[in-house]
Amino acid sequence: MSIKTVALKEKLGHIDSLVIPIVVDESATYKEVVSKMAAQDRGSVIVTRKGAVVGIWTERDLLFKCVLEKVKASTPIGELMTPKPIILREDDTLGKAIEVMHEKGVRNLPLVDAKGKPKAIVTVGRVIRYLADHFPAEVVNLPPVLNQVTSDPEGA
Amino acid sequence: MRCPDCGSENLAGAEDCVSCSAPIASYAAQATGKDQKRILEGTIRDLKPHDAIALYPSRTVTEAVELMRTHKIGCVVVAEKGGSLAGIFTERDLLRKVAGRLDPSKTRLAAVMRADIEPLHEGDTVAFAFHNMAVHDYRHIPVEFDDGSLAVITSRDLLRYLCK
Repeated sequence: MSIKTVALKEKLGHIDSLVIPIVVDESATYKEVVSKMAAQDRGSVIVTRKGAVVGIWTERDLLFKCVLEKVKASTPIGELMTPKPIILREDDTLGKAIEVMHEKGVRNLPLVDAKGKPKAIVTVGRVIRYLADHFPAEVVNLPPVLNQVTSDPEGA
Repeated sequence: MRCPDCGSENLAGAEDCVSCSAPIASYAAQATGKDQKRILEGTIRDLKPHDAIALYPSRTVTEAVELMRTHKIGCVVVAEKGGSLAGIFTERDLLRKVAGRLDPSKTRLAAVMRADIEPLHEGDTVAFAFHNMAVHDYRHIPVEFDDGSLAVITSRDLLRYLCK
């Protein structure tokens, strides 16, 4: 069986290694959001209004729209976010997530539960890690340093 | 099949590992054949690396950001005058080290780049890129070509290759 026939048909709701997202209200400030993301080493936040997903703000938005523009620290993230992001549901497949990533050129997709509450963020990195689980020997069993040569014979 | 937890060999179709009792049925659908070959025999060249946008370590973050915007990319390579790799600077470094802390027009790349990243070589197998991205969580890896030129592969390049 190939990756296409197995992993890509997996329902996103069944993949428990997805990242629990940082969720902020649209009134959260730029400064607050940046420091949360930096502290948790995350590339995106899901933005909500009364609990419903209304946008996403990513490190790409920081790079392209904010960092040289001298955005005020107190600016609400709702003014900077990308509104109406593509949202995935738990019964969507991993294959669909990958397709959307390729077609739309995005790397972070919010996943919501049946009530519309943010549950996870599907990132390219996590998808790769999930696929790596299907190739454990090839991917994990590599030396820490590439092409390394041992200087001493084993046991010497 | 081999148990991913303890490494013991199990009969095909076993639900739990004979040694450590870990549930292994879900791993039974291991990718095999063609996919494994593509990972073990495909090379970094097959991932179609992008020409790197390179800057000297003495250039500023503002210059790097302007180039990243122009080329619509998430990282620049930092190279010494002789062309050797000094590090990379990515949008994650921008978030973690620059935003809200430093003035990008006064911050040199040398101060905020990642210098500890090992480049891959154009002839290395795809498995190395897969390993670095899955285990070390890198999203951009610099690539050295035989002729000394530098390029970059991204996690999206790998995903595209794996799902082709």
